Amino acid sequence: MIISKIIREGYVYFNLHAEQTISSTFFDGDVGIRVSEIFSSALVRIEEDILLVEDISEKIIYLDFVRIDNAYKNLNTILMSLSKKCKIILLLNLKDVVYNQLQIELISGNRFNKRNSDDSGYEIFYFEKESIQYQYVYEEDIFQEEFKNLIQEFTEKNINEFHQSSSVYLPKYINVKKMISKRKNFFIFSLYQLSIKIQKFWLDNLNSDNEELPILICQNLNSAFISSILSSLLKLDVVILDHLGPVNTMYSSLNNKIEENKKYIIVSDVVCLGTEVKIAKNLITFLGGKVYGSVSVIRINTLEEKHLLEQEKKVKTISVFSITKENNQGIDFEIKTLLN
Amino acid sequence: MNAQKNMSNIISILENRKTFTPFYFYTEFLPKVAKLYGKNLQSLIQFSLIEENDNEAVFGFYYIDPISIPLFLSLAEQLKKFHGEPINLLLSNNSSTNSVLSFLEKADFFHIIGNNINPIYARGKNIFNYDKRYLGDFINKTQRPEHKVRCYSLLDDHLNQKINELPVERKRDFLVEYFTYKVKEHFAVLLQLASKSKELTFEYIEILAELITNGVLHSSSDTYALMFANIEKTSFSISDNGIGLYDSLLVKETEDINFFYSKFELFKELQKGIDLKISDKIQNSLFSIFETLFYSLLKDRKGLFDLMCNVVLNCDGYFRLHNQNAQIIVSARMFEELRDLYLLRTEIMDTHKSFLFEQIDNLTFQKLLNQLSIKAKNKFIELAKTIINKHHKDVRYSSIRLYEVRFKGVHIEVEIPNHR
Repeated sequence: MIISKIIREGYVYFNLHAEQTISSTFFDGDVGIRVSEIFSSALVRIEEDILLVEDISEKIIYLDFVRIDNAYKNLNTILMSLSKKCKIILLLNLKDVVYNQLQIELISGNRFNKRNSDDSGYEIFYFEKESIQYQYVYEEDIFQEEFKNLIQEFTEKNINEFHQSSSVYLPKYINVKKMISKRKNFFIFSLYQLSIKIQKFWLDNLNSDNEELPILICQNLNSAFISSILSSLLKLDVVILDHLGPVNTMYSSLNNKIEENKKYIIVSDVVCLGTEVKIAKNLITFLGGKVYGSVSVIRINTLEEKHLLEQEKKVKTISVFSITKENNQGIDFEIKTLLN
Repeated sequence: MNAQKNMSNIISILENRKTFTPFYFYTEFLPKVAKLYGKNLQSLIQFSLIEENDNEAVFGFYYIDPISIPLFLSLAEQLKKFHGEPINLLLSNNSSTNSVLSFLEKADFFHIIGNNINPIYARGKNIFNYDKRYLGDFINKTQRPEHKVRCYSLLDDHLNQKINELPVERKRDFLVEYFTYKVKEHFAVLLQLASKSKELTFEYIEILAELITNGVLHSSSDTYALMFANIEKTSFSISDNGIGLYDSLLVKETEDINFFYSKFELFKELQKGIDLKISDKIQNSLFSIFETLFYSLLKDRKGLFDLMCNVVLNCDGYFRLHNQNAQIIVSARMFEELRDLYLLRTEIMDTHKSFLFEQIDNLTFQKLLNQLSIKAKNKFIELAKTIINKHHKDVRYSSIRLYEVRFKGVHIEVEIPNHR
């Protein structure tokens, strides 16, 4: 399975760290996104996968080494074999340590190779001595672009339906279930991206090794799927609160699941107006737990930046894609009431 | 002490005030075991932790160097296979053995040798019968419990089936990746303590994973591994009880052999040019070590030879490789000879890379590599002659050790000083 492949006209992008994360799961590595080295298994999978890409011999392959700190020896043969199947390979974010371990100095020297700002490696490294210049591809930009395409593909009309927990009308509905089943691989890549954010902004900032890790809490089927993947990538425990929303329910067994003073991260697929997050937060707090924050794959930004920040003070939220006023064109997501 | 003592067939493991080191294992312990078998052993061999009884042992001092545990386990497993049943291990828990017993228990030694099936601990290999009542009431201050002995096998996680269909080099890559994760998990605490940087940690992980892979892949047997770290040095001990280097080369499929190497070419030259005046089995054990290192030096992939050079030249360490009846100790004492070979290795790797990156054509590549292969073979013959001459002059400071008693399999110890 390849999760990070993004095909554009003229090139294909792969994120090696994401692929190695998947490999490590296969090897029962129990490290999730904390994997920091690249082995042959990920590259071999890519080599097999590109054969399925139309006109691959005419395309550039971008191999992004971001977050890769070490490379297993003897990978240069696979890279060479890969390079013969496409137009050119461009290695992105290649640290000097990794460059040395790859033993590719004999093809170094392309005049368009570019060092990174702190001179610790290459921002872009051409796997050929001579070539024309190609553009650098930013991981975040290409991912956001692809995710927007994904939302557009899986947004459906939702006539006459009202949002049960927030008393508003949503003329459009993002079908996450369909998204998961039709584009599973890329959806897992999105969850990988979400994990990277959670690790960077939250888990890396926990005070010490002894500080207890938060527990993921899911509230419906989609969020259970998301939580199970996040749990495997981040090595966090999961608690399932079934059917917390959008329909209000009587909860009889919650106090068996929430433990006093433990930290919880509320996991959602889409956060629209945040009502379900608020319900979950109230329940967890009432039962003695602490809400560390909330994460979602998609978030609808309905407020201005300053008001969003104010709201963040109540529950910190991380999402992998936000629908904003700026990028809504093409998605055309709407929230309506009878008053407007 | 257990009541089952029958002195004629008992070998004591620990001697008072004599640390059980790999050196002790090869020079004293192994001959002791062999002698017992030479006497036409009437009943099943038994091991006792110490020689003395509880009263005699009160003022004794017993210590086991952790890196000798894989060697001992390897031997014990061979004996168990030979007899077809577990062997008795007679324990003793008194004030002087308490600490060593406690360490062995925390190192998972008793889980591995027994019949443990609790997945929290290492799975038992049923090597020894021992009385569990001797384990317990341990004092707290003892050797560090992180020094756990581990057992790896191709039967773990159905590895055999998973690599079955893969080409030879992919098999290796697969296992190295698999064992890298295992090493990280199993030796996490020690790796953190032993290394000062991310790169160094990766280096240690790579060394261990490579050696374990070599063990399970070539020996087709279980491989025991232990990592040891203290303030002065970091050591690894990897021991298998498989077919040894000679047979391992013998079964190598012909398609894995390249144009620049023919099987046993150095071995045959050494046989012709060097008379060690020792039995063939010892000589073959030694020459197989040279042959294996020579083959590794010629290959387009980094392997055992590079690992050895990395340990000795870059890390100021020791690399000891024991194969059946012979052992080679590679250290800074061989710096000059090794550096020459390493330079040659660099040249060989560069030639492989030049061909890989299409900077030379096939004909030039073959010509260059054949020349380098001859050069490397001559260097190895030179090295072997120098080492053997030194051995004849003074056995004590020799880089090789030759043993009458065969200890089946390949056993590697790596020591890296922490001051570097």
